[in-house]
Amino acid sequence: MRCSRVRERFYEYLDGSLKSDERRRIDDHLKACDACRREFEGFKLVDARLKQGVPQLWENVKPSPAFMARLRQTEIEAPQKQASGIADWFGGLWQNHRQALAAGVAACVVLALAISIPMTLTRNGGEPQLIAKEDGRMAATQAPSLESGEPALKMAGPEEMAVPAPTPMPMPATEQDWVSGTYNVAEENDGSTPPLPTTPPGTFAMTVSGTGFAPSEEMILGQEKQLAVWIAFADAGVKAALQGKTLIALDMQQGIEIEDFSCPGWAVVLTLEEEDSSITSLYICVDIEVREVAQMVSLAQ
Amino acid sequence: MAHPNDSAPAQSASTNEVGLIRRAKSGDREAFGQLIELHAVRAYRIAYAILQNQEESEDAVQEAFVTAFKSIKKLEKEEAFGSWLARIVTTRVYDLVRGKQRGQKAVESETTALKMEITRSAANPANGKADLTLDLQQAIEKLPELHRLAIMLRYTEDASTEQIARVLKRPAGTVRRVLSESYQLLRLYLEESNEVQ
Repeated sequence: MRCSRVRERFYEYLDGSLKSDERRRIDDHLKACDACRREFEGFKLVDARLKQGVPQLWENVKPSPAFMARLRQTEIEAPQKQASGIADWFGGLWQNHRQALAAGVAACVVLALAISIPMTLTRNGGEPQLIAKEDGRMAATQAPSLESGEPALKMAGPEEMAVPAPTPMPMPATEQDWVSGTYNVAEENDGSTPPLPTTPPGTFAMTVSGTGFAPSEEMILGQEKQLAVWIAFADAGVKAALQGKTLIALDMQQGIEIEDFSCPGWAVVLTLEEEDSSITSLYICVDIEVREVAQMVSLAQ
Repeated sequence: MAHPNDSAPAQSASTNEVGLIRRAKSGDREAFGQLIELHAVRAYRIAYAILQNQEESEDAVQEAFVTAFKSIKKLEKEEAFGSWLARIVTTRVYDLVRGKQRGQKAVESETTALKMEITRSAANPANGKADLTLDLQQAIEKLPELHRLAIMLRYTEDASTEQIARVLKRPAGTVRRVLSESYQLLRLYLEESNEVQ
């Protein structure tokens, strides 16, 4: 057992949470390694100091006296809607905390888009749409029809995002592919070096319920969703899972806890039709911070 | 109204709390309000452990509760409400950190800088000693954000490596490394300030 591995387990060794065989290996290592034994003695001193002092420090970390009152006044509903009975708990923030509310409300709008109005690959002529502008933000407009050839929601290219883009991968090239088409990785990776797109996939229709939506700085969250989709489809495991299946719909959700799938961040949820016509949902949890797929599960519907 | 519970269960909800969560999932705003009361201070401390700024931490927690309210119907493991909420808070906090262009890369850079500091200090004990004479609070504040939060969770909630990993959204191996680095840094600081001999 390497010294670094032993030292990384001092915490668990001390609190007794290691499995018996691993604990025995560390016991053996400490008997044989003077350096790690000294390190462990030092660790125990620090650990004791932290056990004594950290809870005290934590107790001293408290929000301002007005914080709880402010929480109770938080408005959750979107500004264009009338505040409902929730105002019993969340009302009045407009007057006192306009800036915070603006951010919160914008987040609500985005969350509402993500949670209650999934990004579906459907035709939505005539409905208000979110359109990603070239500067990476989104704006509301009328939805173009498919016949117009214009994407309803164009994904911002990696160069437009403030973060490094993942490696490009074969993507359905046309809107029709995304609306309802067979995503066949094998076909696109047949060794004939198909042209790889330099922009993320892009023709999602995102319907906005209601009117009067005003995009704000906080719509950057929308970019996160786009980035999550891009990361998901660039992942080799996802590509393999999609092979030969028909993509029926794409949804974005945040904070999902389903069976063994736990995703506090953005999850890309794909509805897929299998070759035997059965329908499955592929849940892809994306860790935007590290630009990778954190977890993926497939559930039959 | 009940006073905020400073010692809200960190990882496992009580029977009473599970009842509140179920009511909140069915749209009971009063129940959600009580959950806020129970968890607000802990949520604030988690945010503060990263941000080290009262106003920003309060904003982040407020926005995290909005997210939690919107998402609570999706929470299936009600007993894990504390961890779930903590993840929402840390997600929101890192949104802010990223917004300030102090994201993970900056944290990693900071860690690297601190490692260099350890190396430099070890090579020449007298070098930089005055800067490293810190008490415990200063030493913890000087840790990188992720390390600071891991230490706080470890020593205030007795959280296991796996529990910390769930809150931080990091693999358990990463948490072990973070805790190990934190220990090395804190040991250095505290030895320099004669707090640990």
